[in-house]
Amino acid sequence: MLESRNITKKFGSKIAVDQVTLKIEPGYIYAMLGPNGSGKTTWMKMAAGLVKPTSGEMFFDGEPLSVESRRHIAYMSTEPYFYAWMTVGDVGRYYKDFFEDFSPARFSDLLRRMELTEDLKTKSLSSGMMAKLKIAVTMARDARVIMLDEPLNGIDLLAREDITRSITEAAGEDKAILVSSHLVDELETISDYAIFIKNGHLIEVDNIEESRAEAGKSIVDRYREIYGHGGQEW
Amino acid sequence: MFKLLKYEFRKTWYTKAILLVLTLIAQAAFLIGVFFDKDETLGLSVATLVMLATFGIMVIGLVSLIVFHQDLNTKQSYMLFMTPNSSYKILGAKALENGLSVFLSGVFFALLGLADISILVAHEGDLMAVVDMFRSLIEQLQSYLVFDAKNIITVFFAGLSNWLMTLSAAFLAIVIAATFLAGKKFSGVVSFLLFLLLIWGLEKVIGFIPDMSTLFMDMVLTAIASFVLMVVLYLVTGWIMDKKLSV
Repeated sequence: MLESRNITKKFGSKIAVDQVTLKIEPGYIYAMLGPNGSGKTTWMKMAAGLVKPTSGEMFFDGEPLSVESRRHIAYMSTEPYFYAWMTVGDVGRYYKDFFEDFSPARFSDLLRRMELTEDLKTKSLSSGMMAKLKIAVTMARDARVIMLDEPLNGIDLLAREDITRSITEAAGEDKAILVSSHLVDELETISDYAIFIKNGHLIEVDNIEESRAEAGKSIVDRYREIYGHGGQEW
Repeated sequence: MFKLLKYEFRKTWYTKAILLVLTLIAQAAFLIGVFFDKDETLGLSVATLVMLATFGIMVIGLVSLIVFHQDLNTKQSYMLFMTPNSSYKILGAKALENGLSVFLSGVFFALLGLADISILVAHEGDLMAVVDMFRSLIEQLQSYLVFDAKNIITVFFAGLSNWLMTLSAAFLAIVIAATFLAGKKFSGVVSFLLFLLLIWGLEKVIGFIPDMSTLFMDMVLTAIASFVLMVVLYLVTGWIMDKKLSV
């Protein structure tokens, strides 16, 4: 469905993503894990078409990523990105105007669950409220690939439960959901696969159930092995 | 394209609203000056209206460039580049919005000017004196220019084409700063110098057009040349955005 082949992104002399080959298949929820600066966000931005790779290529349904693939890929960035003049309602109308798969009814439902109202100005939202709005507008799309970059940042415990619930609700056979987060244990309960990235390199992709059943390791254990002191060097 | 245009208008609406409010205040002052015979207020309001008509259009152009810069260099760029619209379409919507805004502002100020002259004439009651003044002015100018609707429209469109060509050169300079010069020191200064260089080069190219016998032919050729150069700049800018731009 979504695939990167030997994709590399350099910012000046810094290599953010290095020769990453990764396949995202429909029907699964993927947890993308790694510390700050490991390359998760850059990979997601390349998949969303926002950042151009230095080398390698990104594919959607076997075709190079194009304007057309943006119709099927929803991306929620970790930074706020709405226009300052917008209200919460304007954000919904904007998405409705540009994305055929956007559901205003689902957006309203998510807003209600997140305790947001349409008349609120985006520039006056707290960081937690902004995070909730980004989640609501992204999850209101019926996109085939949904990528959420740090969706649980700055969100209180109860809202986090709402968000993880909406992620599992959105999952389906024809959809792939990719979530990056530092809150590894919370992702473990909802994800099928864990993607470990370190210093721009793809370390491994683990099937969480198999890993637990065969090696007796949770993704928290594996995270400690890879990123903890004495972890694998790259 | 219509949806992109709608949001481009929305992004620049505040500036246009401020210009409109200032124009309405100046217009109110003009009417007070006319109907209450306050010459000082009348003079000041006319000067303000002329200034708003001249600089207002320039401000609209500058705001369009600032919005484009923000759309490439801040996180709000995601709002545009996440949508299923090509770089050519996004750029086209921006150029079209600016062209339409400048065109409509020009028409608005021209109509307002005509209305104000009519009000002045009707109130002063000396219609024939004002008509004679305009006739004499036009007769003087006609010794080397032919003033008719055809020429006025051609001059207007040549000016609009030239404006859009200048705007396209500015778009190209901004895109180069956001791509090839991204993260480099003095990228803003380099991009401004590049813009000046582009304008100098474009004027040189237009300078190659031979002088024609009539104003009409001069303006038609200038409009065509500006339009062709604008299209070239648009294609180059769109291609760079498509292939190189990371937001």
